[in-house]
Amino acid sequence: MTAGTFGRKTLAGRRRRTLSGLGLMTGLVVAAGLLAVSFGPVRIPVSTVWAIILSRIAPALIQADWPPTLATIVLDVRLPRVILAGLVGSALAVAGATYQGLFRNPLADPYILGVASGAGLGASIAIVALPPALALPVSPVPLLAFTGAVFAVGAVYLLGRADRRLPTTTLILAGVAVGSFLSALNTYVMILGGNRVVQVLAWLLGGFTGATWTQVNLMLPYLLAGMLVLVALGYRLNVLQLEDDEARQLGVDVDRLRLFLAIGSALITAAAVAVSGIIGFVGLVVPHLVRLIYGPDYRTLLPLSALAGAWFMILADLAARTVLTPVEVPVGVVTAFVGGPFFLFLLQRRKREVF
Amino acid sequence: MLEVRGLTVAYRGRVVLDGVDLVVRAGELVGLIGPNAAGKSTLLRAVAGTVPYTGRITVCGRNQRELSRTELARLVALVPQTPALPPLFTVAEVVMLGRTPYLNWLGWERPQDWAAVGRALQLTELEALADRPVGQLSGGERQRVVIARALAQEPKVLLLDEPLNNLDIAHQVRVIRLVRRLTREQGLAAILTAHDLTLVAQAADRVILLDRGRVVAEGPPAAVIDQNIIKEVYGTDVAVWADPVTGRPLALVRVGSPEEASGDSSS
Repeated sequence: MTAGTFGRKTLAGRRRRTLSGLGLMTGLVVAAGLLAVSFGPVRIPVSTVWAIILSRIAPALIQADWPPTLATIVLDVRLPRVILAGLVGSALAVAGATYQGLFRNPLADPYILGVASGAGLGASIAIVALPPALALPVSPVPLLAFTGAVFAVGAVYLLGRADRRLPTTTLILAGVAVGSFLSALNTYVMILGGNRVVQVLAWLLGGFTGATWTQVNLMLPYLLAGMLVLVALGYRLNVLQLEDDEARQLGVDVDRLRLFLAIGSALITAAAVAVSGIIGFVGLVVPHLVRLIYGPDYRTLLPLSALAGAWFMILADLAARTVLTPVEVPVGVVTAFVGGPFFLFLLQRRKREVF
Repeated sequence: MLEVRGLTVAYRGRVVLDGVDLVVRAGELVGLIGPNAAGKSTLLRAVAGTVPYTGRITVCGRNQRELSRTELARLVALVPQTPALPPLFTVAEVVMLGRTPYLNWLGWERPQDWAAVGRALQLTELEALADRPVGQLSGGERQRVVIARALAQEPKVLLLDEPLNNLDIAHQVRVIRLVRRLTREQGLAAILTAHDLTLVAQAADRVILLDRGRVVAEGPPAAVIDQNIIKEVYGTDVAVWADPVTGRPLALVRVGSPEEASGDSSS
């Protein structure tokens, strides 16, 4: 075996696997999306869903032969909800994968740096402190939740810095400390809120009830910017799996890289939390599922996690709103209830290291 | 190839290296010995650019401070004492990380990078394990993976921080032969640290003895690994003979009887 053939074979095999994975996952996301739009109080055939969406994109091609109410249900009610669920799912999965790599810790999830408690506090203040009569053009809840999340991560970052470096342990500890501090503040605000506490709790549970295109547009720019940065840094994240000094010795500026990764994932988590509340489990488990199937290379792990997260969240939300109709189950309950056993099943089957 | 002048490193006021001078020529393998906390690892890390220092380090005729991280990584490779290997990555993937200073930002490998990885795997006899996750390897195999990664960097200066730890004698000999081959055939300048005086004496062209941050002895193995010098620095009795075949020193550590007070200059 010569040196050359060895390398090229491996490379070709890996490219093929990655491309087929991306193709497969894209197909699964589209299929799940069509299915999710099709199901609901009014059952709409998938072919009609497809035609309605197509007629919106290219009106010349399709003859509208459906009642206009169906088009409204598809385009204004279900589609934004499905798309929002998909975007939030991919944001959480990518942020989770990034934090797991950044901290070299399989237990890291998107909320590790205090994003959840920061966003929760922001949302509580918006719900409790602002008079409901104040008719704002946009709901203040996502805006304040976003602000709270960004503020929390900023505080964690500034407090976690030691000796002009950014060691992972102090960063995690600062995340825990800032998180509990903000949670305590949040509890205080909720107690002040009297009966509006129910609204706060509903928000904290998370979900996509009443999703609108406004919410999609609100999170999309942050999501795209953050994802682009993170996916581009996939290779550097591979190098970061070594000790800090080893990565430095290979020419990587570890502290700057860590800063970019932390900002990118905080941004997409904050955007996701702002529009959907706090949905657990997706950001923790989806990256591990992808890792089990496609390996640990972050160049492929991040885009595949984005697709898998979208797929998983779309299906979870579909289950959340259809299983107990007309009651909606919080989507976080579904993600944990379905994702947990599935993940354990995969862990059992693979009797080897997973991280 | 590598020239160090007046190298001084201090951590929080504690002087770890104190005005160290040394030169390693192309094709030369230098053995670096000394008690624990003598500053051996710090010296290697300073040369590799991960420790701030005062003094002057010249690599291939260029001032190390003026090199970018990437430029330095193409000239100097360090095999760390306790490497961290991400267990799910395959041997080939870990060795490919050694190509980082040659890859673009997105890290897309070119054929020449795979060729370099292939050569590194061949030299370290790891080809058969190329697609195995490193988490499944033995200690000796992992040590070779880290050496292969350093070779994939195609450096001019190779620094090995106790590469013989955790290896059985057969693998110790293989690593030493490999490093000697790289210095002889490819003209690398290499520094190897180790605690086993006999092994260093067998491996190295020249030995440098470091104690409390200073070079206390330097020269051919037989000149440095001397009963009196070792006793002076380590506070430990050794018996030294000349190997009847190579003439190099063989050092035997004498533990002594329990009543004897042991020197404690090492900590």
